Amino acid sequence: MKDVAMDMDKVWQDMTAAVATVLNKEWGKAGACVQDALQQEQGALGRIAKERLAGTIDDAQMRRLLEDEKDALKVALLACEVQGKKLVEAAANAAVDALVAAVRTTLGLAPV
Amino acid sequence: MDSYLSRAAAGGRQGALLLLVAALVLGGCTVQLVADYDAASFEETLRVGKMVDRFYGDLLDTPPGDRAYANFAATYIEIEAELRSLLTRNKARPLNEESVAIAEIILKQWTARRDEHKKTGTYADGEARLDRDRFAREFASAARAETYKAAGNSGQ
Repeated sequence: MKDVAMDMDKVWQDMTAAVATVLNKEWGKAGACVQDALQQEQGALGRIAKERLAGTIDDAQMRRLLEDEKDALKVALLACEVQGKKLVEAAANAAVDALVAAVRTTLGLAPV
Repeated sequence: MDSYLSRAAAGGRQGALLLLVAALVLGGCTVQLVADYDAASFEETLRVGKMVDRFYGDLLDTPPGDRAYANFAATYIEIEAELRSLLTRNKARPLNEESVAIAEIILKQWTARRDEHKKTGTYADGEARLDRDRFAREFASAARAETYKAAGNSGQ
C-alpha cells in the first residue's frame, strides 16, 4: 500500500480560507436583511401612531396592532434566519470541499 | 485482555475515521441545514398573499355600514383553507422550521381577524389599512424565506 502523508497545517489553512471567503462575501447581506426588517418595522410603528393620532383607531385597537407587529417582526427575522442558515451551510460546505480536495490530492485522485 | 480491547477499540476508531474520510472524498458529502427551495410553495405564498390583499381591497371599498361579517364570511373561510394548505405543505418538508413558524403566525393572525370581525360585526378603515399592510409584509417575508433556500442564493 502506498504510504501517504498530508500537511495538516496546509489543509487547515485551506479550510479556514474557504470559510472566510464565503463569510466575507455573504455576511454583509445577512446583516442587511436584519437591518431591512428593523427599518420596515419602524415604518409600520409610525403608521400605527399616525392612525391613532388621526383618531381612526382607538387605544384597544392600537394595542392589538402593536402586539401583531411583534409577530410581524418575528416573521421578518425568521426569513433572515433562513438566510443565516444558508450562509452557515455554504461555509461548512466550503470547508468540507477544501478537506476533500486536500485528501484527493494526497491520494493522487483527480479533483471532483 | 485490557490491552487487546484497547487495541481493538483504537482499530475501530481508525476504521471509522477511514470510512468517514472515504465517504467525504468519494461520496460528495454536503451539509444541509435548510429545506430545498420549493417553487410550488413560493408561488402558493404569492397567490395566497394576493388573495388576502384583494380581501382588504374589497373590504375598504365597501361602505363601513355594509361591512357585516356575513358579507365576507365566504372569503374568510376560503383564505383560511388556503393558509392551512400552505402550512401543511411547509410542515411536510424537512428542515423547514422557519417557514412553518411563519405560516403559523399568519394563520393565527388571520383567524383572530375573522373572529374579531364576527364578534363586532364591522371592520374600521384604520384597522383594515394597517392589517392589510402588515399581512403584505408578512407574505413578502414568507416568499423571501423561500427564495433564500435556493441553492447558492443566500444573498438575495
